[in-house]
Amino acid sequence: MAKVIGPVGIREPALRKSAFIVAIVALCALYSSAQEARPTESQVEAVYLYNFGKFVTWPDRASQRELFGICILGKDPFGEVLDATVNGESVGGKQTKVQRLSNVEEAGSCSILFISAAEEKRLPTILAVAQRMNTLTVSDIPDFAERGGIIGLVKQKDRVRFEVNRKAAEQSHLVLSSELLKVALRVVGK
Amino acid sequence: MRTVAIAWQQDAFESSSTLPPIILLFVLSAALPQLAGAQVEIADSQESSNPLKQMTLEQLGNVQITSATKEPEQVWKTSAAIYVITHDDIQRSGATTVPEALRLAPGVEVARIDSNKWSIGIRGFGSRLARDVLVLIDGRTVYTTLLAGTYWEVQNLLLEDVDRIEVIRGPGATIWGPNAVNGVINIITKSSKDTHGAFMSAGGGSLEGGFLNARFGGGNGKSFDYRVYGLAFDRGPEYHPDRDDYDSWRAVQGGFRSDFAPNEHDSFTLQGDIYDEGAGETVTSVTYAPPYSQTVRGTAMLSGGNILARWQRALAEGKDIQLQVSYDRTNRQEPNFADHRDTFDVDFLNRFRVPGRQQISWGVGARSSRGTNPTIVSGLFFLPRTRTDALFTGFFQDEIGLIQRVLSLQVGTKLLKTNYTGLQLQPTARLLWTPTEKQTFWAAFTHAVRTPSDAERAFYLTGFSGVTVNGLPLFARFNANPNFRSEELNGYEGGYRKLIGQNVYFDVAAFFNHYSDLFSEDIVGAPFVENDPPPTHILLPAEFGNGLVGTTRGVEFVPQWKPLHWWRLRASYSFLQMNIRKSPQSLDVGSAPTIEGSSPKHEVTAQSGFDLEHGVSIDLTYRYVSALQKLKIASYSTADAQFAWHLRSYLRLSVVGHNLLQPYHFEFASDPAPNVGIKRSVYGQIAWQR
Repeated sequence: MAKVIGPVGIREPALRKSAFIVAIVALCALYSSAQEARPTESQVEAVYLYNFGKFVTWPDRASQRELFGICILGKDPFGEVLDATVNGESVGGKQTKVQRLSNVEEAGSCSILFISAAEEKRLPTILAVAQRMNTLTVSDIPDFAERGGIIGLVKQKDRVRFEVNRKAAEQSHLVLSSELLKVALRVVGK
Repeated sequence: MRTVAIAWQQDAFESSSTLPPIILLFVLSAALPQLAGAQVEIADSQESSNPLKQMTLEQLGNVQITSATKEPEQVWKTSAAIYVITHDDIQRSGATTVPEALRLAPGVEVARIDSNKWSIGIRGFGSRLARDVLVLIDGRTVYTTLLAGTYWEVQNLLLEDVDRIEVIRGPGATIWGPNAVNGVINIITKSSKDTHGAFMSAGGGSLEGGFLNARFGGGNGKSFDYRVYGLAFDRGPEYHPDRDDYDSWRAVQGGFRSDFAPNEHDSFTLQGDIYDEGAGETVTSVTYAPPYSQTVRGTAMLSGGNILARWQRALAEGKDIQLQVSYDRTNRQEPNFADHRDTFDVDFLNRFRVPGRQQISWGVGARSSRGTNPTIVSGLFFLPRTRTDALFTGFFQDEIGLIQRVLSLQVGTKLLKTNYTGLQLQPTARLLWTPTEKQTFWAAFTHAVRTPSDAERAFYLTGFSGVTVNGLPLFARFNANPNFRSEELNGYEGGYRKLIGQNVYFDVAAFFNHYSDLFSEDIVGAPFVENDPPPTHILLPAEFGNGLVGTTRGVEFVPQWKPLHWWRLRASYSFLQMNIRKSPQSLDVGSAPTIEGSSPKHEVTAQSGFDLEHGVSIDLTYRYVSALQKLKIASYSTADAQFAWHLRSYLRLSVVGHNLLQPYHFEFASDPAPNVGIKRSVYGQIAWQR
């Protein structure tokens, strides 16, 4: 009985096997030196959010906003990353300001509105309100541009690209630069 | 006998010296990338000026990103000890069943009893049915009121379609149903919107005789999506010292899920499963006529099905309504007992916000479970044979934002009434403090109950003790106890989570649980001569009582580190100290030490996952579980490994090895003896997706 349950027979092979695992870990660590650190999806998306402002012209009405509001509607996927990216920057001569909203009706001061994936169900309402406010809508909700959003962020394997809905932009009276359209993975609503 | 026990305890003590190699392994694996990663740190410091911002849109689109640990965000603002096992985690573990996947969660003790049975416990109280743990699959309770707990062998799922498994250690928040005393396991499958296309996987190996999984999903591209699936497997026996390989397991299962969202507010889900299984086992069959007691080898014939419909209306952020109805049919035919059961369940839930940063949730539910248990052997029966168990439940919860985004308080209570109990309250208060975006403190108090089941209130279980000098057989029988009350818990817990930089995350939780009225095995009288059931015998009367009290305390520490975008390290350490004893007037025969001795004091898990080039990934897992003193199960260390190759975007090959460090080891005690060894095993799998 004691022989069956005693760990005596386990200990030494366990050490040998640990050594084997350590060897694998070491090999992989060496392999690592050839690689460099990559940014996270949130970091890239945050930079996109801020960058899009440079390629869009807002109608005069919206230009009266004092600050360049970058807003997140619903559950915030960025956390500190967005603030760190945007703080102290200005777009079109206006100081940027990050705001977090729980209701789209609060988006009056937002030049750019990022719609959290958690809001997917309310998308039609959100887009209708945002259009009235001449706000650039951005989201990583699947088929966002197809579904009437202006810029949809799309994850392609390990890269983040974007799709544009030109018609949705026109309806919001936003003018998209040709460079933005050129780089877009896909342009819908031509 | 005595010497064996002493020798074994020494062994168990010595075995703790197997810990240092693990620590050594961890220190080494931590130190190596530090050496190799010097230039990584430089890259990080350059990032503070954020080179991404200097890039053109085109360049930005070509930046390769790392899939950051999303998990911390999901659990970040939960005032409970929660751990989420993601789809990816399950796939990388090579687990083929839900219990095996649960090994990934800290504080959960998973011990395989044989090929088709497990003992599972959360923060102690490990047992075959895990009676203090509530298990839900897509919101449907799979906890049975027959013997209190979950029959794990009939909770099969197409793991490819599982989105995540949320494991809550400790009494769940108000919203969960009854019997969530020590934990909640919430299994959530993917929406059918996310499972379009065909999927097939097939494989086999040394223990997995063969398995086949298939799914097809589609939709109309707008509001309606569906999937159908089928699975089948045949699993061989584990290691039997006496070569009685009784525990093979085979199953066939099919099911569907459809989701319909006709407008932006409403969504409907309809899903169902149907299964048929045979699980080999040995049971003790006791009869009042000779041969009195024998070990019978047979197959548990398990079949059934379920269907669930859910309507959700989301009106705004934090404002929604949900109505869910489900029906479950269970057929269980074992060599010594049977259960045929219909369960209906309805639940309503409503959440809304009130001014002053308050989020109110409330709900009501009812369940009816009607079961018939025909007697197969005279020593094991239910009276009455057909019974209906009823449950009425309600809850109310208010989440108050004391300081916006920083401090919130959750207070609430569950209300519960069953056919065996009056109205019972289960209040909770939870405090969540997030001083910065990168750290969370939480603390909670909860009162929770495990309601009486048919096992205590309608069950008669006989054991054979031997033949007395006068030639009459002596039996001990646990009679149904109409006075059995709920088991009660007052739980105090707290935790801390922190994200350090981008890549290091840790979660620590500690608890102190005080139990009263715990399940005991009481001798309630002197032996007497009994004629009914015939033939004449001597009976020692016993019953299941509420005679134990006790405390448990422990800590779970869960660090995660992603040193490089292609390398992930995770570990967990769980410590548990149980102190269960008889209450002063108790007639318990001495079951407390067995309860204490059925859960490990220390558990360690360490995982290292590598995503290499050409679609190759390697995952290594190390596990250490300390001894189960009373069950005479020695401590063990073992390891799992998976090598997977994404040959094409639609084709994946993998080879998985489980329990690699020894030919076999024991994890739990079998009833009846002898114990079954859990074998080293290897299987290969090919998965195709279109």
